[in-house]
Amino acid sequence: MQSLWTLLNDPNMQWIFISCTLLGLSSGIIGCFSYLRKQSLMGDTLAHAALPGICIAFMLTGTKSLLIFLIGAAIAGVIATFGIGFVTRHSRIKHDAAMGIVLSGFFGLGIVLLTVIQHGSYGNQAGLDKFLFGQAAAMIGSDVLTMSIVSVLLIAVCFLLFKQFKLISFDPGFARGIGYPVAFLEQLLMLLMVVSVVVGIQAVGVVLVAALLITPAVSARYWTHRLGAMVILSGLFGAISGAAGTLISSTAANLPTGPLTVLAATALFFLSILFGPQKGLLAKQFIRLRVKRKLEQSQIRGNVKARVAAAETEKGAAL
Amino acid sequence: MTVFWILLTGSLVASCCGILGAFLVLRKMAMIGDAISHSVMPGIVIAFLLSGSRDSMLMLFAAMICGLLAVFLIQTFQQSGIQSDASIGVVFTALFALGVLLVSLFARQVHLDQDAILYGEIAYVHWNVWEVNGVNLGPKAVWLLGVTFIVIVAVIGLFYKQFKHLRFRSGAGRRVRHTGRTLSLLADGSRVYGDCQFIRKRRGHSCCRLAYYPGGHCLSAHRSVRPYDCAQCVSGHFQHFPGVRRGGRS
Repeated sequence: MQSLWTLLNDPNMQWIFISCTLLGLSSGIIGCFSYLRKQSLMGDTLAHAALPGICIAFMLTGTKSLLIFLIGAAIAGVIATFGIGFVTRHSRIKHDAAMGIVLSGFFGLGIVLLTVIQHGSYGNQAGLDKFLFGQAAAMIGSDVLTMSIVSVLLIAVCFLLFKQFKLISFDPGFARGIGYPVAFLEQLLMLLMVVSVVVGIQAVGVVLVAALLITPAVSARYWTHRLGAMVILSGLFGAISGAAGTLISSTAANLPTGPLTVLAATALFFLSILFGPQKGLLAKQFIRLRVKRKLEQSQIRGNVKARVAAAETEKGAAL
Repeated sequence: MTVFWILLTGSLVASCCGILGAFLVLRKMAMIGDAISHSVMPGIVIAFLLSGSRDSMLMLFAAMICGLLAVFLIQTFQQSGIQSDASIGVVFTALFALGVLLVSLFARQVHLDQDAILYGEIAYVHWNVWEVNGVNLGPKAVWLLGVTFIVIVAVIGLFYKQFKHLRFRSGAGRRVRHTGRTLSLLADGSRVYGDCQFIRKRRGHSCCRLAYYPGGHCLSAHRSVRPYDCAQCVSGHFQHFPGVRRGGRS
């Protein structure tokens, strides 16, 4: 515990800790909406699609600043969403296959561009491939500042547009009927997803950043049936896993932050699946056991009423 | 001859993926291929740590077990009420994170770096040949992939009708439920087996995508399944050739 406090007193560590926690919080919140709209793997697609955007942004400017990468990746992500929409609309290919095609096409392009950059005559290309797996420790002050501001903005937008997002998550037809700009809101939600993915890439990496969107939301779903509580819980789970990942990885050498964050989120997921109050495995077993005992008791007592009722329902079922 | 072996390896990978990909795309399970290709990573790393070599049967088995584990977990979570794509996302990210963690903990200084698994490289297959009593029989990779290809073609050919039923009319498929269940297990098995082979040869990421890439291409062009399979093989091959010219990395 003592060493943990000394670690947290290190200013560099503080920055990374805060930004990872904020990152987990914001992507957990946005992940809820994408889970409810059945678009969980969209985060994965957008993360992969961001790679060529990052590469092109680097090739055009020659600098490695998070803000420029953010813009490039956001443009690539928006093109990817339009690409998926285009493929599903104009062919017989289903949504998931379209996602696969766009994902692999963009990621392949990204890898080719990375190779081109690696063999090119750029001055400071070293470390660009760190985006594949992420390296939280390599973040500098300005990156951390950008990340924190963007995360806070994301949370603020979700808070302000909570009602609208709730409606388009559950009943887009009704939202359209009462005059909400549904197409705009859907695109906005997609854009928020792109931004949260891109912000997370440097800390967690292209391949794993989708987990920050999916896993906390799925875990939160096990604890509550109300959207508000689910969003808060999901943000909390994301924040806890971000914080835990940073802390654990700082305790020893060779422990990467990104995978540890994802594994912490997965551990929370397993806890939820076991101990969730109504849908959890233990709760289900408990309910089953209680019903079984009740039935046995009524049989032992020879409760005629129950038997007659059971026989009648059986007859009804047979008819 | 060198170019021939490389092209043959790539083509075999592409056709194995393409044949299985047809069924995946039709069953709306395209992202499962992606999930398996990520999930085998811890298996590969553990097998490497146990055996110390990159070319062992142990690696194949470990990767297969991990792939099957991923499929099993995804289906379990689906049945317990989680959306299918969310359960895919949870499972493959967790297993992949485990793999990356293991690599950076134990295998940092050795041959098996993250790039080798992520990109894959088939430009050197002709150097790793299979010799019996001093007779050169050609690259090992081609033999392994050839066997995989024959297994896949045989399984699909033997159970073609059943697979078709399973894919198009789940109602009719449900009537023969017991065979249906074995079949889907068989399909998963062969898919995982195929995937593992491709990972060995072209190490993962972009390659396993071949499985549904050609599948998606052909869906709009062909109506019946049989020409669809063949066309898919062809398109898989064409996709591969520019990659070889670019220096083996496609």
